Amino acid sequence: MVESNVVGFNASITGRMELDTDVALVRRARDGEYAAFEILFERYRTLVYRFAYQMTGRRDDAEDIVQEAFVRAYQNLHRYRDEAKFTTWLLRIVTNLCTDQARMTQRRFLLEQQEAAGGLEWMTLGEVDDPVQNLESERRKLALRRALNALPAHHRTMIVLRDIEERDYHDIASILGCTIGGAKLRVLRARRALRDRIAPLLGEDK
Amino acid sequence: MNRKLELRLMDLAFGDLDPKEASELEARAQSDPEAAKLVAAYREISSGLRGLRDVPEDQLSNERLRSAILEQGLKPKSTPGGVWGWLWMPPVACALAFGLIMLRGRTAPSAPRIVSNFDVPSAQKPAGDNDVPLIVRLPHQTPVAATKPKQAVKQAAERPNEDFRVAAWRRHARERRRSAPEKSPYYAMASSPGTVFAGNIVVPLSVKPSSDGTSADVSTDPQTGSTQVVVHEQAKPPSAGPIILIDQQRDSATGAQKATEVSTPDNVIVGG
Repeated sequence: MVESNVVGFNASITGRMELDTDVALVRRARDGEYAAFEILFERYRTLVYRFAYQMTGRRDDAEDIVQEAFVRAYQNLHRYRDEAKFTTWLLRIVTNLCTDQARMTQRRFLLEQQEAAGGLEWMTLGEVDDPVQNLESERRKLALRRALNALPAHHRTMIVLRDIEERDYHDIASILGCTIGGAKLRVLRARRALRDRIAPLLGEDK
Repeated sequence: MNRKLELRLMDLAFGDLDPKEASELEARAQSDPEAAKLVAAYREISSGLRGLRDVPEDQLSNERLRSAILEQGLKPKSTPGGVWGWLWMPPVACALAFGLIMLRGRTAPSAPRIVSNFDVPSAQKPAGDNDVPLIVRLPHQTPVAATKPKQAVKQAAERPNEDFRVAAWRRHARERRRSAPEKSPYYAMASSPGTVFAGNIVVPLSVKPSSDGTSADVSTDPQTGSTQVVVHEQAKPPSAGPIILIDQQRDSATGAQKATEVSTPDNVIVGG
C-alpha cells in the first residue's frame, strides 16, 4: 500500500515536472494557453533582464528590451525548435534586440565614450584626492561600466555572456550561432578590446 | 611576449584553464615580470566585471507583458510557408512579363503611325535628313508609304528614336514589294494611268486639280534642276487619294534608288 503510494507520488512528480519543462510550456503556449507562457516569462524574465541591463546599462532600456523579447518570443513560438534550449533561443532574440538598440543609440554611446575617457583620465591622473576607499571602488566600477558600454555591441555581448553572466562556451556558441572555437576567439578579442580601453585605469603604459 | 602566451595568460586570469595547466602557467608567470603584470591586469578586469553583476531590480510584470502582447496582436503568428511561400513569385513575374510582351506585340499596327491631323508640325522630320521617307496623305485616306532603297530603309529603321511601328510598316512594305511587286503601293501609283510623272515626282491622278479641286503645283527649279510639288491647303476633298513624293534619283555610290523629301507643305506628314 505504502509502495503504491510512493509510486503514485513519484509518477505525479514526474508528470508535474514534464508539464513544467520549457518544451512542454512552449507547446501549451502554442496551443493557446497563455498562462503557460506567463510561467515562462516568470521563470526567465530575470535572466533576460540581467543580460539586457548589462548590455544597455540602463534599467528602462533593459525593461523595454525584455518586454519586446518576450513579445517576439510569443509571436514566434512556432519557430522554436524543441531540440534547442528555450533560454538559448530567448537569449538569441535578446542579443539581436540589444544589437539593434546599440545601433540606434550609437550617438548616445559616443557621448558615453567621451564621458568614459574623461572618467579614465580622472582615475589615472588622480587629480582629485578622494580619501574614501569605497567611493574609489565605486568610481572604478562606474568607469568600467562606461568602458564596457562604450565597446562595440559585438564585443560587449561576449563580455557580458562570458565574464559577467558566466555562460559556458557551448551556450554562447548556440546563442550566437557559431562554433565553440569561434565563440572562444570572439571572447578573447572582446577582452583585449576592453583591456585596451581601460589600460589607463590599470596604470599601464599603453 | 608572443601572442599565444598572451592569450593563455588571459585565459589564466579569467579562469578558463584547467587546474593543471593553470598551475604550470602561474609558475611561469611568477618568473616573468611582464607576464605577471599582464595576468594581474586581466585579473583586475575580471574581478571588476564580476562586480558588475549586480543589477537594479526590474519593474517588469505580467500585466505589462500582457498589454504589450495585446497591442501587437494576441494570437501568435500562424506558421508561414517559409521559403515555399515565396516560390510562387518568380513564375508569376515571368507570366506577367510574357503577357505584357505578347500584348505589346499584338497591338503593333500593320500600318505606319501617320497622324492624319494636318497640324502636325513638320519638325517631325529631322532637318536636313533626306533619308526619311515621305508619307503624304489627305484626310480620310489610307496612307501609302513611299518605298526606299534597301540601304536607306535599313538605316532609317535603325534610328533609335524612330517609332518601331513605322519601322515595322517599312519592313512589311518591303517584303510585299519583293513578293508581289504589282501589289506594291508605289508600283501601283507609278504604273497607274492616272499618275502624273513629273520629272522624278509621282503625283497620283486623284489629287490633280481637275479631279476634285485639289491643287498641286509641280514646278522645276531651272537653277538646281530639282522638282517641287506644292499641295495647297484647301485641297482636301474626302475622296482625294494619297500623295507620294519620291525623288527617284539614284545613289551615286550604291546605285540604289534614293528617296528624298522635296517639300513639306502643311498637308504633308512626314512619317517615321
